[in-house]
Amino acid sequence: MAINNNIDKIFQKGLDDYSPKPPGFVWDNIQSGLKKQNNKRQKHIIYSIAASVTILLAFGAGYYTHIFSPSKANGVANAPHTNEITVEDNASDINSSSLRELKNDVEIQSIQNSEGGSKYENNNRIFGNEPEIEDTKSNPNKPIDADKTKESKIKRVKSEGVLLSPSFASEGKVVKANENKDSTENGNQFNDCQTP
Amino acid sequence: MKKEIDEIIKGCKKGRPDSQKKLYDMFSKKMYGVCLQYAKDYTEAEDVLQEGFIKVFTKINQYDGKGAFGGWIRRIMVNCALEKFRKQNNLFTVSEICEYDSKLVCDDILAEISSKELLDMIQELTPQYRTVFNLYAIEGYPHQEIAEMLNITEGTSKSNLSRARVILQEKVKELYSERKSNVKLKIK
Repeated sequence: MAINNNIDKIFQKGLDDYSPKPPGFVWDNIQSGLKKQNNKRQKHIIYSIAASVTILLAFGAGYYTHIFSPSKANGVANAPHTNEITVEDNASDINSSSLRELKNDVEIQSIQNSEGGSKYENNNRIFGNEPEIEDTKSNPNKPIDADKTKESKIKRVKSEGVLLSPSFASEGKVVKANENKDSTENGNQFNDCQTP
Repeated sequence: MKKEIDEIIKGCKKGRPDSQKKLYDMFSKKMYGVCLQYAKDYTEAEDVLQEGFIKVFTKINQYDGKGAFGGWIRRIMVNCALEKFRKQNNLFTVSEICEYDSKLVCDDILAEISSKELLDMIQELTPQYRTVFNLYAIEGYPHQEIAEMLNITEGTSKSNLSRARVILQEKVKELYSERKSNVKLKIK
């Protein structure tokens, strides 16, 4: 009769193989418990989907009413107009920037082509008449002719006595510019003569 | 056997009821025994077994295949039993440390005393003695971990264990001597 000092071991060994059959209702309860949990999960998923859909709908409805409200409808009608303006602005910007890049002679020639008005108007015309600018380049005589007609016009205006009109003032500037241009143009002509 | 368990686990991870039933049939008896160790009676053990298996099926995706699956289920069952214990035993009684007599227990006790009788002895212990004894003697947790699990001090865990040992030893001795005298009487 071997003596075992350890009561722990008795219980360890004694209970190790102990595996009684649990009553049948335990499995039924487990199944129903699992079903309940699945239902809970499904409900949770459905509720979360429903909530997200309603939030999306609410935001969507708000967005559409915001866009198609009468006050905004005018804005939509005006929108193309504003767009045009911006396009023009851009064009003028592009013109001004491109102008800066152009050689002096091109600028001068374009001003010669224009019949008075502000500098911006001239710029726009340059943009519109780009092929013409090229023409003037090829025919250096043309701008000179135009210049002559302008000078005659100014003289006419002066003789008519419309001295204080802004158009005249601007034209005066143009005249001044033309005077400068003549000198540069001569230089260009000189260059042209040199290049061949 | 290993392949069979792996297939059953795969099925359970997919939520297949037939695999769940197979898993339950495979482990329910052993786990019922574990639950009975921790419970004060059969009803409580059945509750723990039920909750434990629901947890096993809902958390089976967390089983990574490392370690024995039986050990994983057993831990879940023990944790379920401990949850129940914590709910029921908010107040802990600190008992005096008693040294138990370690001489009188014999090796062939197991031949005389059935597992069922040993279980009855464990179930007669107070919930805290029973839990500490199970965690230390059966599961092999150190006192430090038991103290953390049950939210008690290490000293309390030690004293509870020795008290539980004394009580169990007394009962085993009593039953064993009873059986022995019966055997002697029969021989006479």
